[in-house]
Amino acid sequence: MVTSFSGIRFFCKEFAENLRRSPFVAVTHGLQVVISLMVLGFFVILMAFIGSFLFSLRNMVEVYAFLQTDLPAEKYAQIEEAIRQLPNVKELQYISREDALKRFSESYHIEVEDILEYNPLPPTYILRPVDVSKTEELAAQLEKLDGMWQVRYGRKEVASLMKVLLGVQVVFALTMLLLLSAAWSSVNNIIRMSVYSRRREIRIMQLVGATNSFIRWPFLLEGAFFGILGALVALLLIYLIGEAVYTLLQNLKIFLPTIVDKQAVFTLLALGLVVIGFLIGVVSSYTTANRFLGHELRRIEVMRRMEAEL
Amino acid sequence: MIRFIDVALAYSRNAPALRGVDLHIQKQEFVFLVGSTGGGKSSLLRCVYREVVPQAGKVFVFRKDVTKMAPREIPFLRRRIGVIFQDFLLLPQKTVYGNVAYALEVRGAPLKVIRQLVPEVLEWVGLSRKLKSLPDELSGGEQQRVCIARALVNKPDILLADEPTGNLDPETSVGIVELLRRINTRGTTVVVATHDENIVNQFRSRTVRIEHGKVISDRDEGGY
Repeated sequence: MVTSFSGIRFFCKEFAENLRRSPFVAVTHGLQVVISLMVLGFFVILMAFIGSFLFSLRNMVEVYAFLQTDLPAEKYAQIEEAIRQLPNVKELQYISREDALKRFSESYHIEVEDILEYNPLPPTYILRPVDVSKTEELAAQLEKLDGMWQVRYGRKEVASLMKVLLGVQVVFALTMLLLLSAAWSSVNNIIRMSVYSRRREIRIMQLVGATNSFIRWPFLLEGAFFGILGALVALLLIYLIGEAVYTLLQNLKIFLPTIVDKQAVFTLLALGLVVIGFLIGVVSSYTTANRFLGHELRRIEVMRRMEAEL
Repeated sequence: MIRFIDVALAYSRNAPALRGVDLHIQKQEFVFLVGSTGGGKSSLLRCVYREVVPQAGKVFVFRKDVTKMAPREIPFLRRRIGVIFQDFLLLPQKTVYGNVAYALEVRGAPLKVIRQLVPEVLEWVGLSRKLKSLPDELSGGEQQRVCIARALVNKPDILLADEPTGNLDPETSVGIVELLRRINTRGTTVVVATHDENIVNQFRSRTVRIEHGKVISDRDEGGY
């Protein structure tokens, strides 16, 4: 652990000296982080739009529950109470027979009562489920209610939507994993180069009695610095490119539906990328430095194994 | 101060570096380790500062068996041991002052202590006028003096020198060994691994000969 001011001063001095001494490594390191995080950022934005669009479709799933027409008034009240008790009901809307007739006439421009001389349409409840994947279950519960005539919903459409949503989630998770490992490995390579280029310092530090944690600190500092700086530059580029694309699409009169809050997505992305940049920088520096410092211990292990084999 | 008991070390199955080494070095002794290249001199030194661990035997340094030492204890052992090498192992981008100060900085020494000790030790090795020079601007002898200053600045109890005159001309070599003798007279145990016959013959001191990983002679004030 670093407890002294002189230790911190040493790390900062070493860090600044390394940047000055090997600007090429520093620029390459920075660019690797920027490129990796920028690709990651654009992917997250794209998925946020696609995800929001698909999730907005979930809210459009409705279940129509048609009641029998010849029930006494108190029976309707009982049915409504029973529907409200069901666990998967988010919204409930009642359409009386008269309203249903009015809607029908407006939609099809036909006066049904003039033709049939009575209103054939049943009173209806329109429900929105809390969990779309359990729509079928909800429909079955409604069908069991006494006084229910018919329950309808887009069974096939809901099933397709659920499959697409699952597919999108899987693709998102796998691509995120791939992009994160790509970012991790590119940052790791640069840190390895940096550690290797400073092997002389590390050897001297070990010989004069620096602890491994002390030797590790400048690398952690470097990793954190490049992780955060890379994330900030990547965010700036994402913002500028994103705005340019948005303006271009608007100029081309291409319709852009407002399905996500741009500001909110960018704020979350900014937080996420800075945290990811910091974590990738620090963790990869830690593991790479450890691997290097562990050489000595590994050599000892190899020798002990040889001893056991002899 | 340093004790080897039946120590065996091999870097690979067919390359034994030390075989059954028994050796005892007392406090404040000045010892030459001599022998041909690859005979085991450097390996013996490396066992002392725990860069390698022998497969068999025990190595006691400061009354503690370093072969059983936990990795976290090694830095604290090395703070009491100064090591100098034939290739100097200096940082080319740092000045003479910076190279010596580095040994204190990595131990977290306060700035005040660094500012006091570094000029002192550089004056002691005769480099007080070269504080701001870079290693490349120095002669081989001066570079070795920087290396000695870096080893000394932590006030070690033991100083290990692995072929310290290997890259130096005879005259400069004598100067370096004289400096090591002066360090020894201040109370530091000094062990010098060398195959420089002239040096060993000139500075008569205890001489341990190692060949093919074995101690084949150990004589007080013996020559090469």
